[in-house]
Amino acid sequence: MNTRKIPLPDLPAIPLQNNEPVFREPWEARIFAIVVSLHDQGAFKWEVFQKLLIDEISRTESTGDVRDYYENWFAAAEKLIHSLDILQPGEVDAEVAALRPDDRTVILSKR
Amino acid sequence: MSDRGHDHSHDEEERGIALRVKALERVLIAKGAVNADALDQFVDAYETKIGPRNGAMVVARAWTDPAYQKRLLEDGVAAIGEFGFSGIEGDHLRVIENTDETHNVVVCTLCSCYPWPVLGLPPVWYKSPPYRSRIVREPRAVLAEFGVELPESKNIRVWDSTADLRYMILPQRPDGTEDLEEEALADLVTRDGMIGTALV
Repeated sequence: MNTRKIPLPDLPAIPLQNNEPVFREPWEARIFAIVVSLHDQGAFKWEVFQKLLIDEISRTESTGDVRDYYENWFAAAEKLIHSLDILQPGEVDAEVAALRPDDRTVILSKR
Repeated sequence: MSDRGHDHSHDEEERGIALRVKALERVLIAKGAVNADALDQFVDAYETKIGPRNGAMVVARAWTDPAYQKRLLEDGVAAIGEFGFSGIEGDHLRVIENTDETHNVVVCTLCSCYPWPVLGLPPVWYKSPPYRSRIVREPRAVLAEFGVELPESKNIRVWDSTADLRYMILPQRPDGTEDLEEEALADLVTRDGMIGTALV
């Protein structure tokens, strides 16, 4: 008499939205363009970045660390750029400090 | 109270990442690894030029030109190249045709592989964990959530994109459009129709 299927527990809803912006924050657009531009100049094969991105997504999803997509993209980009030997260690940190000498957000969040 | 606390930490995190991206960009520019104008151009291209309108033109051509449709299904990369569409995430592209028997839908279960040159960058839902896991397990139910109710007799095939191969769906041409020209037909084609989460 009852043909209902047993419901799957906690089936997550798909976040449907129309007319969303391509990038939600300016930094998303910038880190996207940095990776695309380095690729455009032949600095790496796209598959290399894709692998880093997949690793980042699967690692954070498996530990339940909910991140926005471009946070994963940024983490993968940092690893990519590190692997390309373009920067010296600490250069970005120094620039962060130079941009916001009085900003303690980053320091506090490391505690 | 707890809501406020959450919002607060989220905001700080975003300020942190925005600041780090800005610093990274400045260092890369100073080293000549990237330049600001090129970055602006890439952002502009993906925000305003490279989008589903490209794919819609391809679909409309396929609907009106059987020889083009054949080329498109046999070698997607070459056929979209006839329009000048190419680039990242487009060099391994396969076009799959919807038929009376089978409806096709695309996912990337591992990340977000997507045919950029014809569809632009993927929507948020395409990159979301629920879509990526559920469309494979229960495609009929997920399609219903998108408003696509298919008869039980229709097969559904889910194509999982990879770094090596990305997919675009060629929707069925709607009935009653025999008199429409290519341009008007392209207006009917939606992004979701080319992902397979909508009918055209």
